[in-house]
Amino acid sequence: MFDRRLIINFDFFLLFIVILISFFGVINLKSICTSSGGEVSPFFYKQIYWIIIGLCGLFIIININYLNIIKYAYYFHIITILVLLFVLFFGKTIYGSQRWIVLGPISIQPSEITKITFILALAKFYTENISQKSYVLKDLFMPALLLIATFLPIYFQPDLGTAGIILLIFIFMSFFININKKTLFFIVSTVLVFMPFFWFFLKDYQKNRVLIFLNPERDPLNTGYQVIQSKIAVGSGGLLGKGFMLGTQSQLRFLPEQHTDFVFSVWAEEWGFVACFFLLLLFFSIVYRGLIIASESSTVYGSFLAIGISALFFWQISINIFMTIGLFPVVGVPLPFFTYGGSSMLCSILGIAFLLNINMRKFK
Amino acid sequence: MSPKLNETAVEKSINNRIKIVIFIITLFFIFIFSRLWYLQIIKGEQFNELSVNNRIRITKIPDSRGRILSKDGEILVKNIPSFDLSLIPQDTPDINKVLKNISKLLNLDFKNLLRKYEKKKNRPPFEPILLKEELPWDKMSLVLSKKVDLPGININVVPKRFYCLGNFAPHIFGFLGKANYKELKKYGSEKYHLGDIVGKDGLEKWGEKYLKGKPGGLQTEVDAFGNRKKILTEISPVNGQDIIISINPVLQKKAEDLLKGKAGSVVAMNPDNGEIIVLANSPGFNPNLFARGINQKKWRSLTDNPFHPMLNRALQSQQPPGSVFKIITAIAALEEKAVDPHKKIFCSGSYKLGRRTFRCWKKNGHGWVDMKKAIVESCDCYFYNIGLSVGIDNISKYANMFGLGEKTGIDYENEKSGLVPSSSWKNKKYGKPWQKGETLNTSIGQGFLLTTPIQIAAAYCGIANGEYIPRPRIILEIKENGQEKVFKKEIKHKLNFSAKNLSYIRDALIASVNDPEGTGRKAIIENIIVAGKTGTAQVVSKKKNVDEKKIPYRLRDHAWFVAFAPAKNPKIVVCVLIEHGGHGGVVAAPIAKEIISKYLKK
Repeated sequence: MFDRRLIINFDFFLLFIVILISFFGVINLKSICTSSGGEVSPFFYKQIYWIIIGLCGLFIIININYLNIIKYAYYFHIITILVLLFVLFFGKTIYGSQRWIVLGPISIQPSEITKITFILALAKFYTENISQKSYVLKDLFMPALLLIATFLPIYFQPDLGTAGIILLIFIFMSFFININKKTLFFIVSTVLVFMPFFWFFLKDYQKNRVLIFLNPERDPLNTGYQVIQSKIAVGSGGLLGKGFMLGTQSQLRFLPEQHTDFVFSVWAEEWGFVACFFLLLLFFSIVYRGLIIASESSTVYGSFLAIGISALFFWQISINIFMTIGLFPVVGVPLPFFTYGGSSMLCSILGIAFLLNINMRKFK
Repeated sequence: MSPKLNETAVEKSINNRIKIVIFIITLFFIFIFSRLWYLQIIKGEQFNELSVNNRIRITKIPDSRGRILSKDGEILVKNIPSFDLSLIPQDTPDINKVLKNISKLLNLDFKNLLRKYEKKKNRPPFEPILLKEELPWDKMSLVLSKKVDLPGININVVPKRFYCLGNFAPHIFGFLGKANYKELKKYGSEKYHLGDIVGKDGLEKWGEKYLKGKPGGLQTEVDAFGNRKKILTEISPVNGQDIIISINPVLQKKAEDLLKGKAGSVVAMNPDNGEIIVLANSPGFNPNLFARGINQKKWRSLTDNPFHPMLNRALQSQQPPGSVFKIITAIAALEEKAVDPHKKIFCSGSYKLGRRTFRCWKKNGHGWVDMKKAIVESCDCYFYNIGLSVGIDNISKYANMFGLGEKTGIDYENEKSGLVPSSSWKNKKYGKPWQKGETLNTSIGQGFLLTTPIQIAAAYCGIANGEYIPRPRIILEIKENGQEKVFKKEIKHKLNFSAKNLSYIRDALIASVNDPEGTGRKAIIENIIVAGKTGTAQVVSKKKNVDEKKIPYRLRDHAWFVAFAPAKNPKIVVCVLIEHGGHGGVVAAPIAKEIISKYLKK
């Protein structure tokens, strides 16, 4: 019954990296959650529980062949879209966005799991239509429909960050199919033409964030404040940082949203450039391993799935860090394994579970 | 679907593209690395500084300016706490809302508050913006109780100067104002900063270097909401030194009350040591108006007032002394042995010199007068005679001996020196020889002669003590860091007059007040012998005697009276000048009487 090759091909390195990053994340969160009086806020313990729960889930998932899971990809995705629509109308509002459903003591952010089901669904579609020589416009109708059906409910929550990630994953994955050159040209030129109109669909606060990103000094006390304080935090970390729990920007709360959007700034301030370099190297390894797994996969399903998950990690990591160093407007994109939040942590671990799963079954 | 044949081709194409993607992603990460290198290594110091600026606030702890106390320990000038409302923009997330709350809470105009904020919007966000000065106590506690709803709002306790006497003695204390560039340069930029308060006049100005302390500082760590987390360093302020002055506040108030409605001054001195007992001027002002900076309108009303309330008349009002000066002419004549005091001279009411006629104030003349009678009745003709005998240069020599024509050296910067004419002075100034008629005018204290009340008071100290002219002084002690710097008596001029001549003059001055014919009879005090001399100084020469009240104010005579008492052992010299007041004996003598009796009968 049990195939020894599953263990031989288990990517211990990837799992080790993930556990290491999570460990760093927990240390970082400890600094953020400890008040000056020495009390530790429950966020810290909750995050540890989520990691443990996530790892348990991981060992269950890797025992199910991903091909059996991807079979039901469309059903999973339809269910999550329905949940998204439910959230849109009945969800709990936090920070002005309808992102949460409350189930007893826990709140779930369904847009997180949507990222995974979207990747599954798109991987299934592209794999099953791979034989086509090249996609023309009408062949792209289904993927476009899939994108729009996922994008809009998230966009209207509004959660511009996650919606953007969905779009970027779509583009990333679509790079691996053959699109007819004329069609590609047509799509790109149409998007460029309609780009300015997109601006009018943005909500006021979103427009504001973009404007402030372009010029943070525009409003140094309100929205621009976050970016300025984050840059100060990162920059003042220097080569070796200010030391654990000694970051003045974070401890004295000049840095906003420390446990979510700006966790990296806390890390950068307290541990400095060397630790940032090391952490980024670990993140790079995840994306790199993901893509290698994609190329070594025994099935096209596995390749597309691994590509999608690599894309997910790549975009979240780079956008979050770009945000903290003032190279991208402030949108709610978490840093995998670092940002506090159960939904984000579980989905990141789920992504890793799929990568491990594909790698274990790369034998032909 | 899934033709197996194609699978390897598909995988090949995917693998090729993965290589491209890995390349692009590597570039992305290299870009992030270089950006972090730029922020943390190249710009690290700069950002570190910014993070320090973020958390460290330096607040000034104001020092307390030295107080001014009377000899008896009464506090005359002190500091009281004043509560200022300010806003630190950095600590205020929603400025509009906080300003609205404040305007509701304190009943202040919201637009006005907003304007104050907008004006200083571009300053560093951690610098407090002053919203309202001098909150009353109840409003201050109201703000403190609602502090939770008012993030970034601070109450600063600022010491404010308070002049306990209010309207009284403004010219002694002077007033405060914001330092200008000239003053900053003078006092040095180490101790003073732009916007600091300095003494602009009076003792506040004279004693600036003593009164000014050194502000302390507090270096605190704050969080993003402006809450103080811990104190890093604290430098305590050094308070200014107290000044003890010789003024008698009760007498000072009395003198100013007596001067009310008039323009003039009263100077009272101790003839032995030169201590100023009273230095009163009228009209005055309330120095409390200047404590936190005066507004344009009030300043205008003070400077545009035709009676010049800011003027320290006792030191700055230069007027002809009139008959008060006759004593100096008499001493000059006696000491130079130019006349025999007992020799009588006939006064017909006028004196002819060449073709000009010089009048005596008494139209019908005094008849035969000796020196004593001439002093008692203030006969002008007698002094025309002896003035001519002794000569202008002797008169001016003695006037200088009495300290006229120069600053008395009282502890103020803006004292005027007056003028004592002489033949060489006139030659130098006008290039013309001295005229005898001018000697006549000078002998009775008119003509070119100009004196200030403080000079006259100091001069009569010499007659009272018979030995010297003391330097008038107000500052007795400066408490210097626990030690005391004591200012001792100073003698400006030694007088070497014969005792016989001095006692003759003193007798004449006693008679001038106490004799039935004396001009100073309004200064008679029961049980105390007062010696004094009246003076009525002409502003313009009048051809005929006319009713004083019909003459325009500006052309009316100045009324002088100077006295010392008790005559045998003088304790006080009082000099009164009422500008355009009329006859000295009528207007000035009663004021001197009140001061002397209050001082000696306490």
